[in-house]
Amino acid sequence: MNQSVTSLADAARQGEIQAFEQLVRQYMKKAYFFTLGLVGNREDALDISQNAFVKAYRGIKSLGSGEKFPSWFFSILRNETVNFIKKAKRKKLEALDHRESFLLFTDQSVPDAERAAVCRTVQQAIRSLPLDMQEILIMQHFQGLGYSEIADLLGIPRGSVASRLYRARAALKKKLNGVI
Amino acid sequence: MENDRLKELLTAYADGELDEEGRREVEKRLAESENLRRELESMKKVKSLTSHMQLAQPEEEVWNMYWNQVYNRIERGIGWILLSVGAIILLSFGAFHFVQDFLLDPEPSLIMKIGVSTATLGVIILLVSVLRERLFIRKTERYKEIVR
Repeated sequence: MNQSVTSLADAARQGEIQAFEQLVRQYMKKAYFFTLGLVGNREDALDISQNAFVKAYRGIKSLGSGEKFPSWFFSILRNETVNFIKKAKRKKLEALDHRESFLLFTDQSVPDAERAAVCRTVQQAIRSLPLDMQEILIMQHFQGLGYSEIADLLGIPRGSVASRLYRARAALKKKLNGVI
Repeated sequence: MENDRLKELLTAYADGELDEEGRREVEKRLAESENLRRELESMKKVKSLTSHMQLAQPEEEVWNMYWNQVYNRIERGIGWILLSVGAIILLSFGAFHFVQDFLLDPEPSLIMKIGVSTATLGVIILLVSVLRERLFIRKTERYKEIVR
């Protein structure tokens, strides 16, 4: 556990806004990319992640102890993201159909058209999986987070990270039959 | 070894998340099982494909502005609360004087008092309803630009 996060969160609970600012700066990229991977749109990812921080600020006094901040905040972020996805599906908003690609293919030796096609295929395959599988794939494959960090953020045991990843990869491979 | 435990170990092995003891255990099992080796290969193929991809990075400016935007939202929230409290105080004050000066005045007829009271209440309800709807539309307005 990052000690500075615990002490920052404890200070934020006492009303120190500068401490909360440091927490935002530490977690803003993780929050943004987590949400981007799930909603596929940059503006929405910014909106949702920032709203999650605002909710965290308003509710931080209810946080039992500073060391629970990462999983507590991520549960707020996850709820905000899930609520957004549900609302968007109800309204059939095109935001979820992400015209722009939020995944980029980094291997420049592959032709442009092929790179874009592969990214779109992988995005659609991931998007068709249950949310808990999408989360774990985004966090491990695209955010490059380690098992301990993922466990910390999701509030689950380290072993559960491995088992969820196993199921998610198996499901993704099935969807990508023909590409892999 | 239980099947689930083996799957966890194999996944962690593929991701380099095992300690020395765990690695030795998995490598021993891999040497003994063709199925397990195929399973590991399958996992590596998925990892290999996604290793060539990354989430689109925003401009640096996004990170520079991020905290300011969060802070502005927090401030706006406080602003709305103060505005609401102020509006409630003013409306209550206005309502009190309205009751005192008009409704308790014996001169206007009862029917006029009922008419004015009902119309005033109706205006307040409409105002709150319109404000609430405008706030709701403002939140979702950006989607109206999207071509279906």
